[in-house]
Amino acid sequence: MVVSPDLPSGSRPTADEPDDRDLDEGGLDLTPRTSSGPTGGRSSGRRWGALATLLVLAGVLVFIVVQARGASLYYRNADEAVAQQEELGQDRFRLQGVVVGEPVEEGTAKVFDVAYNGVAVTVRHTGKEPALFKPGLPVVAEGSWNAAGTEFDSDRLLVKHTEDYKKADVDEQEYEEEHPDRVVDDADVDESASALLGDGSERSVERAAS
Amino acid sequence: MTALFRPDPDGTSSRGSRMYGYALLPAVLLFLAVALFISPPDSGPDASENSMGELVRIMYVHVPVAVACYTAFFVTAAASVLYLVRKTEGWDTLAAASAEVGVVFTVLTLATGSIWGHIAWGTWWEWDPRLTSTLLMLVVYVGYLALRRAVIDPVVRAKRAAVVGLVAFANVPIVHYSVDWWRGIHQPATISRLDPTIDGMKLFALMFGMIVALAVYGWLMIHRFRLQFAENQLEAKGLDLALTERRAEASAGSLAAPKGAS
Repeated sequence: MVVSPDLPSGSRPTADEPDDRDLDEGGLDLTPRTSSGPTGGRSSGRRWGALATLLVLAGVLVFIVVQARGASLYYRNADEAVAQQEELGQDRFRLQGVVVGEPVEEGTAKVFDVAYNGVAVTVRHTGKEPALFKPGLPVVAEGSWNAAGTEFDSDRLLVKHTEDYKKADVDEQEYEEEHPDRVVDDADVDESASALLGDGSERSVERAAS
Repeated sequence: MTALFRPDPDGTSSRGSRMYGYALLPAVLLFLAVALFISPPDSGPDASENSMGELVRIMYVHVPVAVACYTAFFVTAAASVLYLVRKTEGWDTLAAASAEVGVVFTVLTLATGSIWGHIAWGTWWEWDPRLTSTLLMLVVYVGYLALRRAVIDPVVRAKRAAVVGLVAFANVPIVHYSVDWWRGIHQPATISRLDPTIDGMKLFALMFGMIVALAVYGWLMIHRFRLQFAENQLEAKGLDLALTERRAEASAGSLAAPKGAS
């Protein structure tokens, strides 16, 4: 504590006037104390706690960024999966498309077609299926092309429900106008996709009645 | 008129905020009745292509709390700008209060979305662009609140927080448009578009939910702002007390000094 008893009494602060003199002019030493009084200890603890929180949050941010590296290409549409089949090989990826036709149970697997931009892929899914899974809704299947490259083997299936909460379109023309990407017509189905459907014939994929 | 808004000396409420609360409570109850019972399930002849059944009702909470969190962070950003321009404590207090309420609404958004996703999508969580950017938004605003606690000096704290509060808002439009810019499991926008893809009682329940959520945000803000204001006053009082203590020590020292060696 700096005390200046030699100062003329006239320059000292009065009860009404705060002491705003500099330290070397005999003013009050306002340097924060390092001793841990009841208040100092609390604010110091609060500060360290907050700094530790900031550090943890920085770690969480790094974790999120690492996890989200693939978020910008979350899935490949059915037409892209077919076009990129060679380079994808048997790598694991997510496949997106609208379920067309009725799914068929084959042993423990559920087999169905998904289509996008006129290209259909047969999915053989083993595992749980979400409550909303049904023909006419887009799904994201996680898995890989099978060894023969004829089907997509999936072990994780998610339903990508749409933003449409209006009464479902019963008029086919209206539906096709609103969802051009979902329309799979015989003439539009890509030849390679037809080959992938397994039986070698020009199997048509029709829009499932929703 | 001023008496209506003058806070009680022993709390954060005023006559006006109590009236606000009394009006808000039946509105919340009415909203719950509309959302849970009066609006139809997404099934039957009027069902959408999603046919969500009873599950559609969670949308009436999920979307409104998300809108409230966007609003809260917008208020934080706007108040941060105003603090940087005017340097008045009130704007800093408003920014801090709104960020805290916004964090609560973001947690609610993630929680309701996760429940919805578990049933509709088949997963509690996916690292998809919307979910990831929302989580990022939450972490950044929790960081904003932690920063406020890490800096003791009120002026330095307000300045740093204002900069972070402004920069953090850049992520909010990214969250909103992530469903359009990138591919993900999350559905695109239903109402914030030129041709909303919802109508009838579902649209009414959703809009009602948004009005109620914003009203709840407003009510929470009144109390959180007043609490923050009281905290600031207490902090300033603590500083005044510490200065008084130092002065008392100094004057005691100056009285004792002539007797000492000096």
